[in-house]
Amino acid sequence: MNTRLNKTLILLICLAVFIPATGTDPEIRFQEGVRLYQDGDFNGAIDKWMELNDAGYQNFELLYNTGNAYFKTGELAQAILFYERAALRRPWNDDLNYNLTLARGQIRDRYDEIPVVFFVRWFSVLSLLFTSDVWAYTAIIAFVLTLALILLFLFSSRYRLKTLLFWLSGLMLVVFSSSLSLALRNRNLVFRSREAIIISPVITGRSSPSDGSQDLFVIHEGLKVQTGERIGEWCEIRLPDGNKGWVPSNSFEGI
Amino acid sequence: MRLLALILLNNLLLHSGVAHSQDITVRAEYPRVVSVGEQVRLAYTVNTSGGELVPPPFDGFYKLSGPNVSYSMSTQIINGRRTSETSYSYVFYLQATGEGKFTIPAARYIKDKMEHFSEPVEIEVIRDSGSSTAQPVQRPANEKGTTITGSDMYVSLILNKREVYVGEPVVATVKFYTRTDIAGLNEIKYPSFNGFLKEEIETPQPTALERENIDGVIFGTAVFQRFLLYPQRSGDIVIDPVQLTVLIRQRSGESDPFFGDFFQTFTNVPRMVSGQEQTIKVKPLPGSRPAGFSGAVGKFDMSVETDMDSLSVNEALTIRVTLKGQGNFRLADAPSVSFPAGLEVYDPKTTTSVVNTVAGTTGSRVFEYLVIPRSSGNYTIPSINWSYFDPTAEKYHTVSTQPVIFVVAKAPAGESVPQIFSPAAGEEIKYLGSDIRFIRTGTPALRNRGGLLLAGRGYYSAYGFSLLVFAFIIVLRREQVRRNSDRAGVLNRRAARLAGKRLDNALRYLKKGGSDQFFENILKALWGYVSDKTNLPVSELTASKSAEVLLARGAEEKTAREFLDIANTCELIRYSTATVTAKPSEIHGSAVRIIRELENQIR
Repeated sequence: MNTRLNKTLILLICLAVFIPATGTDPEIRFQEGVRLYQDGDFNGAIDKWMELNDAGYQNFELLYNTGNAYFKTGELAQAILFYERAALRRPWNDDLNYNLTLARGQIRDRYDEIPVVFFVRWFSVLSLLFTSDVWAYTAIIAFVLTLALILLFLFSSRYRLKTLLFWLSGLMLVVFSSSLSLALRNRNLVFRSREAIIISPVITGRSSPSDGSQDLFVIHEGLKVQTGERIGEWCEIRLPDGNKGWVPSNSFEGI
Repeated sequence: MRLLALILLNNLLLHSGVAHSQDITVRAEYPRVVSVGEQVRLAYTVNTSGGELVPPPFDGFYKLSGPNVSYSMSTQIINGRRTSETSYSYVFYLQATGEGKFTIPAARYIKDKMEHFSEPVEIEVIRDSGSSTAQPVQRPANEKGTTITGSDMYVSLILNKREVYVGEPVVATVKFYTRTDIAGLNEIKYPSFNGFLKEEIETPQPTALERENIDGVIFGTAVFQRFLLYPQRSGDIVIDPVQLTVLIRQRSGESDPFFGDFFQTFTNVPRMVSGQEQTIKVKPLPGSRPAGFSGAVGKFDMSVETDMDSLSVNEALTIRVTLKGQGNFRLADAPSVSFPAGLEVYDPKTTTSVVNTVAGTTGSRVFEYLVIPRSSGNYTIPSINWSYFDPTAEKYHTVSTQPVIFVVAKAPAGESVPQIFSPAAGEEIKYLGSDIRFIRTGTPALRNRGGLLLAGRGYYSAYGFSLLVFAFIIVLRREQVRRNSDRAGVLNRRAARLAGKRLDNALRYLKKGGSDQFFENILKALWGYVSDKTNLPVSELTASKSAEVLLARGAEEKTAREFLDIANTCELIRYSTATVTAKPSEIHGSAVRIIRELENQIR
């Protein structure tokens, strides 16, 4: 009886020791990467951070640091890919934009993005202010509040209260609809992005999805393209200047 | 006088001390190759005196004479310093008897019971196929009008390597071979060595021809010059042949009939000798070049030093970067030093001190930077990285130095600072380079990305659920309102009838004589009527409240007062023992009238 009690006690102590350890594990690995980066071992830092990336951690800091480490090892395409991913978390970050501009300046193809109309850009930036989930929660809360306010409006008998409730419910309706659309925008930007970065050093864009077709253009690694239709091993891409062509699907990686 | 003697004695002691400290060497001089039957001169030279030489057994040779001892002494006085050299030579004349390689063991020299040894002597004896005479080198002189064939004399450029990396040194030896007697050398034309950086290796000028066995023929050889060649480009590089003109001693005229050869006259005939082309395969440096590589090939070491650790503003500091080792120094560029801002740096002064040897160029190259700090503070020159290619390991190496730290103090207060402070002369910010910004070091709250909320069906069903609840509440409320309004209507419509029934009841009790029940029914009829009409429970109806409610519903004030009066009267009669002034039938009549009036007035 006594031994069993002891065993239980030991088990409890072990659990108490291990639970916080496993809880901070990704943070420890992140810091290991930071230390390796500071010591100049960029490949080691990439290994550490890529483990976290592969495990599904997608923080801004992680993506930004991974991009920096790739930049330092000279893998520009990977660096741009991770910077673009980080830009979907915090597009307004000053350091990130500086590094991304620097990295884009070093790729072979000249990068000129067609500017988006200002309100579309604002809308995108606004949608990236919080995660899609936060927007979705806001939307559902606003929706429930709208319904509750409409009910109160219907049941109240006093005139002034009724007017107030009417406007409040209208406001809530606006909040609901805008946050739902922001949530959808965020999802489309982050999770259903059609943008991709060219990974292969040099690829030729063709007029149709086959090896024998007419060559249209030559692009190099690091270029940002829009992906389109996929047929077998081929994918249609759209260049920043609007030209379209077919390239092998393994020559780029989606943001 | 005694003092002088002492000095003399001292001097003597000193000298003998010098003599003792000097190393005793026994040097052997001999030809390396001889032909059978040829006379061999073997001389042992000792750089001291007073000892005894024990000759070794000359196996394979026949001793003709020896030892013939000779003595020489030379004294030099340079800048008042007197040096003297003494040497004893023991010369043996031997004759080679048979073919083969013979090793004569080391000779011993005994002095002061100490034994000193010479090196063993190795002599190769061959049957000289090129000549039948014993002394081939003198042969042409003895033969009149001999034409010298090409095989008698040639020059070659000997390379120690045929395949090298760019920048890896090749030792090229210009060697002359002859079997004829030459009077002198007129001109040597060395190749241009295009594609190479040429460094001369200091070579002693040949005084006598060295004998060598070349395919069974004894040649007299001389090394004229050695070069270190550093290839500058990759590919097969062809080196032009060496050309030289030698003067050959040739007998002219007939030999004198009386005096034979003794008075023979000789003329020196110039003759051109040309070597062969040589090809060196130069490989390009392999792999990717590390940063800080400027083309240095060899083995190097780098160090950095300063002449001061601390100084004041505007004082000069020398930073010396030294490359030491072996390799193509002349191609080694100054390592790039990243000086911190605030220092005025002048172009480095380069000092190269190298020695060219057969093994390569060794020495050092010093880059001296003159640095003048213009502002105070702690300065750190980061470690300098410099790379070279090691051809033996076929690898790139990077050498690094320690960072250099020095402190610059503010200029002393008394010193006039040569600095102009003018308010408008702000210096432009100097940008030294661009690099990406640094990483984020703070630990973020790392959260694993779960499923997307928008993707789940649960999210949308939450909307549906809340809509359902909304609709349900509305339906429920409407039902309740409908039911409530129905009940009120019914009661409203039935109120007068109910009141009439109660009044009839009261009248029945009055006839039976039940005064108590009579008033109770009157009150019930009155309050019940108001309650049904206003949809308020009887318990809430006080006198003032019911008056208010009745007035609100449109009753006239007079009627409301009469209603309250009669209700009061009934209550007084019923609950107190007050005397009744009014007749019950009158009360009944007025109650019926008031209810009728109210029925007409209330909406």
